[in-house]
Amino acid sequence: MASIIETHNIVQSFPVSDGEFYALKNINISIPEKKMTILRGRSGSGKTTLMNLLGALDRPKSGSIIFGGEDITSMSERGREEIRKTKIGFVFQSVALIPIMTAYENVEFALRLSGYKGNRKERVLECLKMVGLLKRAGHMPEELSGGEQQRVAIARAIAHKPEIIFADEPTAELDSGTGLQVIRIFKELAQNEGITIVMTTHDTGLMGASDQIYELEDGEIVEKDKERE
Amino acid sequence: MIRFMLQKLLYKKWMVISLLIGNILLIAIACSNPMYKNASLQRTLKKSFGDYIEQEGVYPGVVAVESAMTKDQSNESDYLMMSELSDTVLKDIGLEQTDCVKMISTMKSNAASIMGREDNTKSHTMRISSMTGIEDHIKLLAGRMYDTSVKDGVIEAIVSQKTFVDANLILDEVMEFKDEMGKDGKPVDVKVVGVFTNSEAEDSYWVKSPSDYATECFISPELFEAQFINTNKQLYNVEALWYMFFDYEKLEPADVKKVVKNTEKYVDKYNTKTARFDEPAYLPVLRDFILSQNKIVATLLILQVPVLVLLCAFIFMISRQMLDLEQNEIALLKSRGSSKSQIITIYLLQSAAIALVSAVIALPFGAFLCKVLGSANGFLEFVHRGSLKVRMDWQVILYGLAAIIVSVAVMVLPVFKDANITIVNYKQQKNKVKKPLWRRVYLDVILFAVSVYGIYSFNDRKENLIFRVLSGESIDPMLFLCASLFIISAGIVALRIQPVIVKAVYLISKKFLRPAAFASFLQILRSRGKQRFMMVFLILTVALGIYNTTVARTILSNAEKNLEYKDGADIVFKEVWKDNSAFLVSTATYEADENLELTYTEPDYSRFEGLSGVQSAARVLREDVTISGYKEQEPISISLMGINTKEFGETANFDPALLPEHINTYLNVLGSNMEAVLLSMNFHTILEYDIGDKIEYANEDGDVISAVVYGFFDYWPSYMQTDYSITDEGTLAENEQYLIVANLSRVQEMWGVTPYQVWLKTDGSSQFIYDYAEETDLAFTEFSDTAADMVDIRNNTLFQGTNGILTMSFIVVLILCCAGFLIYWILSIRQRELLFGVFRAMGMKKSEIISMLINEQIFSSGLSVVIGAVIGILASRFFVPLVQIFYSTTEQAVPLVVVNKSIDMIRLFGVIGVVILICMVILAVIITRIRISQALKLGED
Repeated sequence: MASIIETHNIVQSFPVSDGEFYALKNINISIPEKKMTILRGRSGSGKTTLMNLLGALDRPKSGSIIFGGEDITSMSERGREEIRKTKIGFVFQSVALIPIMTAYENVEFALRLSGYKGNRKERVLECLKMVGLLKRAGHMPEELSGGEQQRVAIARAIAHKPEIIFADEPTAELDSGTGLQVIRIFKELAQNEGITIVMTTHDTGLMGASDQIYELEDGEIVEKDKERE
Repeated sequence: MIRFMLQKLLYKKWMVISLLIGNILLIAIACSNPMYKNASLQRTLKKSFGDYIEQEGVYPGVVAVESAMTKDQSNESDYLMMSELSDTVLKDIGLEQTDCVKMISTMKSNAASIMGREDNTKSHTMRISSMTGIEDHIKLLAGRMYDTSVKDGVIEAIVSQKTFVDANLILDEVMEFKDEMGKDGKPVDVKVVGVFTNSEAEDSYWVKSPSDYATECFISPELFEAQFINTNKQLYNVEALWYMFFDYEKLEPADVKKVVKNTEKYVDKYNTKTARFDEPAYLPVLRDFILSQNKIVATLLILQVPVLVLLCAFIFMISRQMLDLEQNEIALLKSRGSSKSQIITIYLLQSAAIALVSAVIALPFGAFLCKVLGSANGFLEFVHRGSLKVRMDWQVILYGLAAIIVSVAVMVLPVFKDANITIVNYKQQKNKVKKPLWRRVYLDVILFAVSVYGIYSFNDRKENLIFRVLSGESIDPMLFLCASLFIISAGIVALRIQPVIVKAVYLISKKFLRPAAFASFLQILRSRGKQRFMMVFLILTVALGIYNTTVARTILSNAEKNLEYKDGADIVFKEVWKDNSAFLVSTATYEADENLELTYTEPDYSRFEGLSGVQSAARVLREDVTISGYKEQEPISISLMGINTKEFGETANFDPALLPEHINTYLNVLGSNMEAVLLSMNFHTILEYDIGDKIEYANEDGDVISAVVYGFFDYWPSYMQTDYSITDEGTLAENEQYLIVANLSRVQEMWGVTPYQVWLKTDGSSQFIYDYAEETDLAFTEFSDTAADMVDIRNNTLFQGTNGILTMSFIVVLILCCAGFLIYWILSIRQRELLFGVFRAMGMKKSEIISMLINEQIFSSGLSVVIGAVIGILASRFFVPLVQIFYSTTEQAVPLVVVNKSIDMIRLFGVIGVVILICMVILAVIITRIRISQALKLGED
C-alpha cells in the first residue's frame, strides 16, 4: 500500500534547564494513504511532537520527512504554508474554532484561506451535512456543545479537500459516546472521501476503528500494530 | 495573602505598570497644581512690583505715617501716638520691617542770607529738616557733613544740589530763618556746610529723590529733636513723616489679601492732618495682583480638572480590566470561604501599595512638571527660562493625599460588586455580555446634548461674557467644563458610530475580501467591548490635542496680533524736543514777552532713518482735537494722526485682512489731495459724516484746519475704536474713540512743527535703538518696543500657565492613550494566541496575520484618529471663540479669530504617529515571538 508520509531517523529535542530533552529519538514510520493511523502513547511520550512534525508545523532537529514525495524538512516556510493550506487539515485537542465566526463562517474561512475555486457555499453546507450540523450552521461556537464544536472543527478540516487530516486527541474532551461519533466520522471520511487520517489518542477504546497503530514511549516507537485487515 | 497579592501583581505586569503610571500622573498633577500656582504667583507678584518700579521709579515697599505739631498748642498726643504706631504698624499689617526713616521738618519759612552777598539779596522759601540715617545714603558733592552741635548759635546743615542751585547758595553761607525764632527770641541761623546727592542711583531709602527736596536744609536729627521739639510746650510748627520699609520680595502671595485688608484699615482710620496713614504705593499694585491672582487660580484649576477626571477614569478602567482577569481567582477565594471583607482588604492593600509607591515617585515628578510648566512657551513648545522656585508645603501634601485617597477609592470601587461572586455565579455569568448602564440609558448622548446646549447658551450670552472678563471677573468655569464635556461625550457617542462604518465597509467588500481582512473585520465587529476602552483614549488624545493646540495658538496669536496693531510699528517713540517754554514764563529775573509763542526745535529726524537695523521710518503726529460742527453736550474724544503716506505705508505694521482694501489704497487716496482726511467709521455711523463732506478740526489753541472727507476705516494702525474703563461703581464704561487721519505736511503748514512720534520698522532686532539712546543720551517721552512686549506676553503667567497646562494635559492623555493602546493590544494578542496558532496551522502566513492586525488597526485606531480629529476641529470651532474671550483685555482692538498653524498640527500628529508606531513595533515583536506549536498548546505532552 502506498504511503503518503515517510519519516527517516527523525530526532526532535528541546532545550531544558539541564541540557537538552529528547522528545523524539530516531523515528522511522510511514503513514499509509487513505487509511486511518493512530499514534498512541501516554502523556509525554512524544506523540503530539511527532504529529507537529508530520503536519509541517515544526521542523525536526535531524532526519527527514517525505510528504507526497517531497522532503518537507528542507522546504521553505512558504512551501510548507502552501502544503498546510491545501493538502492538510487539522483538528485540535482544545477545540480551536475561531470564536468570532459562526459554524458556517469557520468552515468557509478554511475555503477562503486555501483559495478554494468551487462554489464555497455549497461546499460548506456539504461539509456541515457530513458532520450532521446543517441545522446549527448559523450558531457561534460558544452556543455549541463540545462534541458539536469538534464536529465543526472536522468539517473545517475537510472543507478544502485535504489529502490528510491530523487530529490531536480529538476526543479527549468529549464523553465516550460523542467520542465514538467523532471517530466514526473520521472513519467514514477515510473510506468515502479517500482522506488519510492521522490521530493521536490515549483512549484504548477507540483503537478498534484504526487501520494502523504506532505506540510511542519516551520518544521511541515501541510497537507497530501492522495493518489489520 | 500578601504573597497572593504579589504573585497577582507580577503576573499582570503590564496592567500594574499602567496603574502605576496612572497613579503617578494623578498624584503628580494634583501636587503640581499648588506648587505651580504658588511659584508662578510669587513670580507674578515680584514682577508686578518690578513693573511698578520701572514705571514710577519709586520703591513700593514702604508705608508712610504722618503727624504734625502746632506751635503753642498741647497737641502732642497725636504725635506721640503716631510715633508709637510707626514702630508696630508694619508688623500689624503682616509685613516684616527692614528699615525705618524718620523725617521731621519745620514749616516753610522765609530765609535770607546774612552774608551780604550782592548776588543773593532776595529771601528764599526754605525749611529746616532732618532725616534719620541720611549719612549712609549720600555722597557729598562739595563741603562737608554737618556737625551735630550748635556752634556760636549757628546750626550746620547740608542741602541737596537742587536747593543749592535754586537758593543760589555758596558753601558756608548762613541763612537766617526769619519766621523761626529761637529760644532766645532771635531768628534761627543755619549754615550750609555741604551739598549732597544720593550715593547710589537705585536706593530705596530715597522715597523721594534728593532733587525733590528743593527747600530743605538737613540738620542732625538729634539736634533737630533738641532744638525744635518739646512735647510739653511746642514752640514750632513741625511736620513729621515716618517711612517704614519692608522687602516686597518676601511678601507671600497667600498673605496679599490680608495685607491689603489691614492696610486699608489703617488708611481709613488715620486720615487727619496730625495723624495720617498715607495710602501706600503698593496698595493698587496688590489690588491688581488679587484680580489677576483670582484669574490665574481659577484658570489653573479649570484647565486641570478634565485631565484629572480622565486620569481617574483611566485608573478605574484598568482596575476594571484587571479585575475581569481576576474574577476567576476571586470566585475561587470566595468559594473557599473567604469573606467579602477579606477580599476587599486584599484589594485595599494592593491599591494602597500602588498608590504609595506612586506617591514616592510622583512628588519629585510633580516638582519637575511644575518646572516644565514654567518653561512653556507655546503648545508643545518649551524654552529655557529662569526656573520657578518650587517649594513643598502643607498645601502640596494635602493635594497629594487627596489624590491618593481618590485613587485608592477608584481602584477598590469595582471590587465591591465582584466580591459577592462565587465560582458558580462566575461560570454562569461568564458568557453573558451585558451592556454597561451608561450605554443602556444613553448617558453619553444625553451629556453630548447638554454640551451642545451649552454652546448655544454661551453664544447667546457672549456679550455678557466679554463684559465680565473685561471688568476683571474670572470666566464662567462652566465654559471650560462644557468644552471638556463636549469632547469626552462626543468621543463616546462616536463609538456608537464606528461599528456602523466598519459594518458598511465590511458588507460592501465582503465578497472580495482576502481571508486576513475578512477575519479582521469580523474581529472588530464581534468583539467591540474591549476595543472601546482603547479607542476612547485615542479619540480623546487626538481631539484634546487639536483643541488644546488651537486654544494655545489662538490666545497667543490674538494677543500678539493685537499688540502689533496697538503699537502700530516695531518701535514707536517720541523724543524730548527743545522748546522756548523757558521764555514764556516770567521769573524773578526775567520778564516774559507776552507775544512770544511756544515753538519747538525739531531734532534731526533723518538720523533715525540711517541707523543700521532700521528698514524704514515714519513721522506720526498725534494730537487731541475738537471738531467745530459737533453740537452735542457731551465731549467726545477725537484725535488726529498726521502722516506722510509713503513712509507710513512702509513702516506701519498692519494686517491687510482688517480692511476691505489694502491699506496702501487708503493711503493713496489720502495722498491724492493735501486737504483730504480719512475718518474712523464712527464719524459715519454716529456723527453721520459722509464722503465728500467738509470737516473742521481745531487744536488746543483753537487753530482750525478744514478738510474734506475722502474715506472711512474700521481699523487703522494703533487705532482703538473703543476705550474701556471701569467706573467707580465697578461697571464697565465704553468710550467711543474717533480718529482723523490727515496729511502731516498740511497739519504742519497750518500749526507749525510740533513734537511727533517716530515709527520705525526694524529688521528683526530692536537692540540698536537702546544702544543708540545710550550713546547719544536720547530722552523719550513715549516709547514702545513691540518685540519686547511680545516677550512679556509669552512670560505672562496666565498665558504661560495656560500653555503649560494644555501641553501637560495633552502629554498625559498621550501617555494614557499609549498605555491603553498597548494594554488593549497585548491583551488582545495574548487572548488570541491560540487563534493565531490555528490560523497559522491552517496555512496563514505570518505576514497575513500582521496584515490582519494592521487592518484591525486601520478600522479601530485609524478610525479613532479620524474621529478624534473631527471632534477636535468641531470643539475648536465651537469653543475657542468663546474661550479666547477670557484672555482678551480691555485693550483688545483687533477682532478675535481662531488660529491654526500647520506646524502645530504637524507636531501634534507627529507625536501621535510616533507613539502609535512605537506601540506597533512592540506588538510586532510580541507577534513574531509566538511559536505556532506552543500557541496551539500541542507541545504540552
